[in-house]
Amino acid sequence: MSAGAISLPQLVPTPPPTTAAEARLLRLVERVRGDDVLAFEELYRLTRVDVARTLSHLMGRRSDLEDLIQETYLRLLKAVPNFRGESQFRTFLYRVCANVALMHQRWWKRRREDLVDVLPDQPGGEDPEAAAQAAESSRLVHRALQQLTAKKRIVFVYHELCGMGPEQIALAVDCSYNTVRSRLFHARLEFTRALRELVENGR
Amino acid sequence: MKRHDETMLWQYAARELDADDAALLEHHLEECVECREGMLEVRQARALLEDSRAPRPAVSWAKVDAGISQLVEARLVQKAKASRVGWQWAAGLACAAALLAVAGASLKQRLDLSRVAPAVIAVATQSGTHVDQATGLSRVGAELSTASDGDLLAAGEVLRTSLGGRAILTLPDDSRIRLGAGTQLALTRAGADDVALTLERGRVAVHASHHPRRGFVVHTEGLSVRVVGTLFTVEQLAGAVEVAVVEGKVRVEPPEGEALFLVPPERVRFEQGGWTPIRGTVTPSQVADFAELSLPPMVEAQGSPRPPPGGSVQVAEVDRPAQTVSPGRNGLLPRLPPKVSAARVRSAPVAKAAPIAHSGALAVMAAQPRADAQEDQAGLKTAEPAADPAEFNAFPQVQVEPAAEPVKPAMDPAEASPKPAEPLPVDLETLFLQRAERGIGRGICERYLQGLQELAGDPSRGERAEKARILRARCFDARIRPDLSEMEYRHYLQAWPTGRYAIEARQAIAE
Repeated sequence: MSAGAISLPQLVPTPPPTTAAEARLLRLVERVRGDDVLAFEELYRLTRVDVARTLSHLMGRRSDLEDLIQETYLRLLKAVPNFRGESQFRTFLYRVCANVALMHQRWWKRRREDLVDVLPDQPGGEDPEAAAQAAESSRLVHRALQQLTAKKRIVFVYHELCGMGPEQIALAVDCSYNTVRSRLFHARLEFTRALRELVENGR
Repeated sequence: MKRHDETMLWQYAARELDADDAALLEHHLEECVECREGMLEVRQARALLEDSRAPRPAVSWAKVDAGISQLVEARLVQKAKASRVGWQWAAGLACAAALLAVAGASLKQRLDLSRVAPAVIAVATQSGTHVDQATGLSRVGAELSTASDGDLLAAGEVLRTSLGGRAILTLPDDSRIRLGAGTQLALTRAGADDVALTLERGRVAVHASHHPRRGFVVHTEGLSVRVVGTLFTVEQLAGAVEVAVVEGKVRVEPPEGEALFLVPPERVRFEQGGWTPIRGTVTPSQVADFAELSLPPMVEAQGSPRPPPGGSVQVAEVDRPAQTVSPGRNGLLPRLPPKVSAARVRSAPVAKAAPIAHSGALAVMAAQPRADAQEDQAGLKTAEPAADPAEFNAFPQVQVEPAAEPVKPAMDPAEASPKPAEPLPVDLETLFLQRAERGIGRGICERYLQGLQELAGDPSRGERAEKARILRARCFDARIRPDLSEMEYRHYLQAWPTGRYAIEARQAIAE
């Protein structure tokens, strides 16, 4: 391959947002904006697993994941009046998740404590062997993700694990499209390298 | 291999390269061993990511749910406080205007504001609504408070069950309501002769008594469900409203379109954005709600006299003196001590049904056909014709008077045991059972189900209770409701394992 100027990845665009699930979320959000807190509870029920999974990808397996989820929804309730419907609601939710993750990242760094708590995933599925393999993969991925800086990790997780498109990520992390491409470019390299080191060092 | 070459491998694996670049890379991979190894690494990394995408993290959802419930409840309290402040301002302004008007009209007239207090208390005392069983039940008001078994509730209160909670309430007209998990319900009106509930979220199952009254309606999302019969559920789902009838009949009035009647085992669903009814049948979970409601209440409404059935005249008669019940904190009724009221029971020659004074079950059938049962609309299912008037003879009316003596906190078990209801004249009950039995053959037994349930649930009725239970089972059998029929047969065998119809019940269950 020839060496030349760095070529940022040409990312696959975000899929169209008008799914039935998204429309349902938007209806609930509209009610929450009208101060209907019961709709907020419904919104929580519909999105809580997604939020838990995203936070665990961003923050690793932690013993205080429940607190982070609550924190996310507290912030969401405060932030929903500012949601103008310019993006998908899930993008907005991921933005709140990213803010919570960044805030806690800083909080933990100030205390210089280990960020990674290795907690098991929920045993699920009918095939225990597959479940064990998924848990092992998950553990390895999370350890590799801890080697990335927070901003790169968020972009990488949103793209590679949450399936978000670059425009969505740009909205979720409040940066430009090219910044997303740049962070993803570096995050992919660092992730592969971290994974290689983990495997070489016997994990 | 350069850094950007490595990322090209990622792009290639993620199908982000255009066709020309992909072809170029494929050509390069054939020649470059290092890049092929790099490609293998990338593919392994992507496989690991794919594997770790799906697993759900282990989360203690009970803890998170509780936190979210607290958050929501705090918001509800804030809202209630805000509306209370607004109401106080409005009331203050109204009072000021009234004072000015009165003063201007006649300075000789003196204001007697003390009349206001008894009026407020009278509204509260008319509501004998109480909690039979509750788990995770809260009252949402200016402050949030937990409601427990035996608590009295006032009209206007908003109740809320937690995401894992549930509650069973008894209304002044002996109707019973089950609040499912995550339900919010406002007791808009909860009088003996007029009940209006507003379901704000979740699911309620209603076992409406047959007491004559002005109305019994459940509102939700602009939809009104009026009671014609007895057992039904109303559920507000995310983006939909659902009504199901297990017994009797209800009239469903959507905000748009024609009203419709539902009879067992019908279920109707209205999706958000349209009021076109989608018909179905009752689900097992809805039937399960009623199994719970049909059990006798675990906690009696101690200290709360049952108002007699009927209109507002009877309600006025059961009002206690204002000083015996005073509103508690924030206008909520205080929880009464665990003592049966010394209310006296007397008979009066008033027509209509009579409740017993001690249990949630009714002592007699409220067989009076209600006016709304005859409501009909062109094109809708025709209401059943009025039954033979002989079915609805007048019964001795039980009325409850307030106790002369204050309620003692200590309770003698013998004293606490409720006074059994006075049995009805045998001929009337027998007549009712005979008609119910004939009704099975004529295919009109549904109208007798509630009365039969009231008889069957009262052990003091002896053989008539036994007969009533078996007739209920036969009726469900005849209406091709095997699940309910089997439930009735099982109830029968529990109560009368060696009864006259035990063989029939066992055979039916075995089938």
